[in-house]
Amino acid sequence: MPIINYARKEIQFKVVYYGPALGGKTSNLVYIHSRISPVHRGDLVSLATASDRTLFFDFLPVNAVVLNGFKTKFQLYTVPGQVIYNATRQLVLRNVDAVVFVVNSEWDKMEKNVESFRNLEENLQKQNLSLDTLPYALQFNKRDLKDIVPTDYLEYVLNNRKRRVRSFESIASTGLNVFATLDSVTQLLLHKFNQEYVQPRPAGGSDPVRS
Amino acid sequence: MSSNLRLGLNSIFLNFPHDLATPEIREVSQTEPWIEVPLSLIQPQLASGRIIVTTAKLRELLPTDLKERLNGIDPAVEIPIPLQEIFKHLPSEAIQRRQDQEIEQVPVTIATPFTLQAREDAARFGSAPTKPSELLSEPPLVEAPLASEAPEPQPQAPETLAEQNLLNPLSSERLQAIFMTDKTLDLHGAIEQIGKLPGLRGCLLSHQNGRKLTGQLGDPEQESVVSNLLPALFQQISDRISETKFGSLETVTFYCDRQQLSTFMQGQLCLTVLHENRPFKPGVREKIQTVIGEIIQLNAF
Repeated sequence: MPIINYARKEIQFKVVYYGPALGGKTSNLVYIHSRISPVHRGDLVSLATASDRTLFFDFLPVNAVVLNGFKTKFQLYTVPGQVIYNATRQLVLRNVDAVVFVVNSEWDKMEKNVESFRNLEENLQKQNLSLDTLPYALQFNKRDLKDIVPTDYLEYVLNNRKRRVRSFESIASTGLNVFATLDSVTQLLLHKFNQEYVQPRPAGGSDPVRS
Repeated sequence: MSSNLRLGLNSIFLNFPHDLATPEIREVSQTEPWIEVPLSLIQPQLASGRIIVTTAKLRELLPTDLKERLNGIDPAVEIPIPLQEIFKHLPSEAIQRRQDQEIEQVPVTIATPFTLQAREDAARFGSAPTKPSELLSEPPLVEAPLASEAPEPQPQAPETLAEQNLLNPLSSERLQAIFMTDKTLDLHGAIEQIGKLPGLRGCLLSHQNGRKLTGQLGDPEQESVVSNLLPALFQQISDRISETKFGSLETVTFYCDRQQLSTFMQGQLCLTVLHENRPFKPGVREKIQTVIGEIIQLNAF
């Protein structure tokens, strides 16, 4: 659920990049950071281990324009992919509005992909959230590598819920489909927000943003 | 669909767990025998991203002359079968999607703060543009692009759906009432009307991303600078002001040596007016503020 600050007239959305270790989540944020004007974004805050793995999370604030008089802010986070950091992932997932699940397309990472996806479902469930309703997209990353998993298998394994979401083949290190993924998930997010908060309610109904 | 998959043993033994890979097993990986593995053993595991068989089962499947190679290994130990090897032989029907899937669609066109970059990247990489669903029929709800790179030189055609939409007739009685005219105004007309308000010499409307939408300030070069610079500058000032108790920023006036200009910003629209010789006459600033609000209401989120 977005955070709406009436005093400051701000709406804050939280988008979390989730997925197994070494999948390319941080690369996504690095590329996004490099392509957005400094006027509209903050610094990319990244806390990494000596081996350059994400230790806690990466954070990138993006200031957008006004929706119905409210300034919108997008907060982009990654989670640490390593299995042992589940408490951190749960923390980062709090109040999440949308998820980009970054898949590692290498054959030997398939099990980790599935494990991470199930972990996402479990952690969302702990917050009474579900992939049945939460805006999310799949990003099949590292498509530039040789001998990678065919997308029909990735779809079969990770996009076989009743709700079939959009998926993107990406190369986060070069930027291919990085913004396409983010744009897609943001569309879902704004559409959901519009449905729940902005569209005119029946007479007598409350309308948090317009009130 | 065949009930068995014929898999190369060398691939399986090449990926054998290191601690179990005896010289006898490594020797098998150099050869090219094969085994038939029941699909019923593999298919239920496909969704997990990992296929395993017990040593006992593998031994059962091995050719008679190779069975002894697994002697000494706990029959319960799980041996992975490489997915690559399986997929060389797996019939496509084995990974069919469920039939009741509902494909997610965004039912309305929503351009996001990241749409421009997505389109730019699509063009750069030669991939399919990430336009919103073609099933979309309603007008755009929001257009919130961020300027990521230096804006293109003018003249510019409308880049976004919302920009395109801004050029449609503005069927607002309120807008007509503000300017006291019976004429239906399009965006050009409304901006032209602003430029004719008392004490003003010109009016320019630009998008937050730096693109000029309509209007004129007399000098195209000057207009380009105004379109590119002022939205970002206004936003910066607005952000800082919002941290104070002054309230939200509505207008910024620049007193320059030769001319004075004032900038308004609402939503993704930035409107700049050129003054004749002194700042606003009473009521003009408020009127402009109302007009921008009305245009936003008519066209944007």
